[in-house]
Amino acid sequence: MSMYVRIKREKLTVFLHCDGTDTVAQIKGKLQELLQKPAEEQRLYKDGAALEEDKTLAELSVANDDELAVAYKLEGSNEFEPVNIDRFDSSAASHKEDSP
Amino acid sequence: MAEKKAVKLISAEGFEFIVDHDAACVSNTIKNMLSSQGNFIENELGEIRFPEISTPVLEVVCKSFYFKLRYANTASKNIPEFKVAPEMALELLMAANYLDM
Repeated sequence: MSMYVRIKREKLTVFLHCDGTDTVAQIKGKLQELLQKPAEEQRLYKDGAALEEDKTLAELSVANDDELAVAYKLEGSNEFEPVNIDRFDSSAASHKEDSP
Repeated sequence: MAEKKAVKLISAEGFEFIVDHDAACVSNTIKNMLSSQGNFIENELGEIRFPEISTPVLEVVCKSFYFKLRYANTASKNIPEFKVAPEMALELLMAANYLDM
């Protein structure tokens, strides 16, 4: 039975097919291609808690349609950026052009 | 497993959704866009903009792609309901109509 997770960062959402037996490392491997970001520069979170590399999704009780967050390693340091997910705010519907 | 290309769908507000090629092709409109000679390819990733579909609606659309893929060919009787918030129903219906799915 296939399932998927939604992995978010800023304005991006990746829908990813996965399996309960997939490890977090495998998920990062799949993300690597999609995000053009090496697996070792990614960190995955569920509900604010970082997910351990060698655990499987089932062990971490990640279920179908769950929302995960990905943070990237900051350039030139060993720190990771904080989790940052842009939420759509319907009250601010007037479209503003973001500065780069 | 040969990984099919993923597709990036961009909502009216510029939010991006990366979905599997197979999932996106649940929509006949997207399928035609991707299979036609039209050039939608940027950085080896197909990008399609939907200036008329808002972010929350597009996210539900993407969920429904995966829902369909998962349950379309199952004989099982206990297929869960695909729940939609009533206030979104009309917008979603219009998006689904446009996407031909």
